[in-house]
Amino acid sequence: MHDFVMPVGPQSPALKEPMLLKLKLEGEEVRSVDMRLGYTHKGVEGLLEGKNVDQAMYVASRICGICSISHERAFIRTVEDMMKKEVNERVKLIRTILFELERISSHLLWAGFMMHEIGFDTLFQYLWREREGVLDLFESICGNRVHKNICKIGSLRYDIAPVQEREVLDCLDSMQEKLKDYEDEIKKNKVIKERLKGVGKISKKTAIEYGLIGPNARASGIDNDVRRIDPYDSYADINFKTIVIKKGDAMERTLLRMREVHESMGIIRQCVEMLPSEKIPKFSLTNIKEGEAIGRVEAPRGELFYFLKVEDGLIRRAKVRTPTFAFIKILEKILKGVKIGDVPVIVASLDPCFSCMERVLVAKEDREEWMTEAEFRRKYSC
Amino acid sequence: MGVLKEIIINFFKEPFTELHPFVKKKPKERFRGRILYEADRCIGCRLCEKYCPVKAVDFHEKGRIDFDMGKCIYCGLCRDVCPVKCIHYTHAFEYASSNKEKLRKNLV
Repeated sequence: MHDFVMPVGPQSPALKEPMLLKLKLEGEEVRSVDMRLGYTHKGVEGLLEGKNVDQAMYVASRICGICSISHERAFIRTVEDMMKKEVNERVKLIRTILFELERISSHLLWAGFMMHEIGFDTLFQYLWREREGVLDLFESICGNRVHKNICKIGSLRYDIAPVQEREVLDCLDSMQEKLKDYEDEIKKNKVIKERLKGVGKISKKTAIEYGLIGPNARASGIDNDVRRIDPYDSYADINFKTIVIKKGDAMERTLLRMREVHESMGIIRQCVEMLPSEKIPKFSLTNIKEGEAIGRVEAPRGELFYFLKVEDGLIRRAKVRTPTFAFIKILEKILKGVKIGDVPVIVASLDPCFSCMERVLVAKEDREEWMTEAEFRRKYSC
Repeated sequence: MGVLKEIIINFFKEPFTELHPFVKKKPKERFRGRILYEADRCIGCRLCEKYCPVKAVDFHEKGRIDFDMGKCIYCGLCRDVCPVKCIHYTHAFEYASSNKEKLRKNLV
C-alpha cells in the first residue's frame, strides 16, 4: 500500500487554532507525524523589551486571553522577587481567588470544546452556560471579562467588596450541583465513553521523557503542581489536594480537569472565609533600576515560566515559556498508530493553546542551527 | 422523569440569552469603556503619554491630548498614573467605526 500524506490544518475545522499536522497514512492508520507551528507568531518577547515593568505587565497579560491573570501573576512574581517585596495577606488571598476563578473558566472552556470535538454539542452549551457566570464575576470584580488587568506590582487595582464576596459564593453554589451532573454524564454516557476511553494513552515513562506538565502530567500519574512544590500567594496556608490519576487516556484527562474545578471551588471558599479586614496598599509606580529574576506559576495548562532582566529601569531581555511549549512535542509520539478519526480528539485532549506558545524556533530539516542572540538579530533584523 | 421535569420548568422560563440591540445591557460598575478626558483640569505632565504601553496617547499641548481608541488596550494605566485624576473610563462600548479619525476624537 502507498503512503499517503494528509495535511490537517493550518485552517481546519478539527483544530481551533492554526497548526499544521502532516499525517503519513497507511489506510486509516497514522504512520508518522510532522508538525509545523508558527502561524500566529506575535513577537511578544520583542514587544516587552524596552518597556518599563509597569507597562510591560499589561503587554505580558495579553499573550493569552484565557490565562490572562496567570501571565500577569507570573510577571508580578518575577518582579516582586527581583525587588524582594512582600505583599499583605489580603492582596495574596484576593489574587488566589481570581487565579482559581480563572482556572475554573479555562477548564470549563476546554471541557466544552472537548465535548464539541466528539460531537456532543448539548453538553458543550451547558458547560459554557456555567462559564458565563464566572465571566460575569470577572466583569464585576476586575472591570473586563477577558483581559482582567487587576493585578499591580505589590498591590491590586480593586479590592473585593462584601457584595462581591457574596456574588462569588452564590455563583459557586449555583454551579456546583450542575457540574456534578455533567461529570456524571461524562462518566456514564456511552457515546463519550466510546470516543474517549483508551484513546491517546500516555504512560508515565513517556510523560517524563517528553516533559509533560500540568493536568496532562497529573493524568499520567506524575505529581507535578507548582502550587505545591513552590508555593506562592496563599497556597501554602490552604488545604487542597493535587489530583493524580494513573491511566492517562483522554477520558481520564477530561475527568481530572472536571475534578480540578471542584478543587478550585474549595480553594476559593477557603480564601473568602479567610479574608482579613485590612486594607490593600495604594498603587504606586515601581522604581526598579537593575535586576534579574525568574518566576513560575501553575497556569490552568501547567507550569508557566518567566525570566526578566532589567537594566536602567527598562526590560532588556524577557523569556516566556508557556505550558503548551513544553508538551506539544509529545503529539509526534502519541499520534503514531492511531486511527485518523481520533486525531482531533487526541490533540484537543491535551488542551493546547497555540497562540501563546508561538516562540521563535530556528529549525532546519536535516540539522539543528545554533546562533547567538546578536547573530540572530542580525539575520532576522529584529 | 427528570427530563420531563426539566422540559416543564424550561417551558415557563425567561430566555437565558439577551436581546442586545433592543434591550441595552448595562455594564458593571468597574467596566472600562471609552476614555473621557477632562481638558480643563489637565496640568500637562505628560505621564499618560510616557506610560501608555501601546503609544495610544498623542500629547499636543496642555489641555489637548488625543487618545487613539483604535490602539488602546484598555489597561487603565493612564488613569492610574494621572496625578490630578482627569482621565476616566466611561461605560460606552458601542463605538466601532471604519473611520479612524472618529476613534481618535475625544469624549468631552
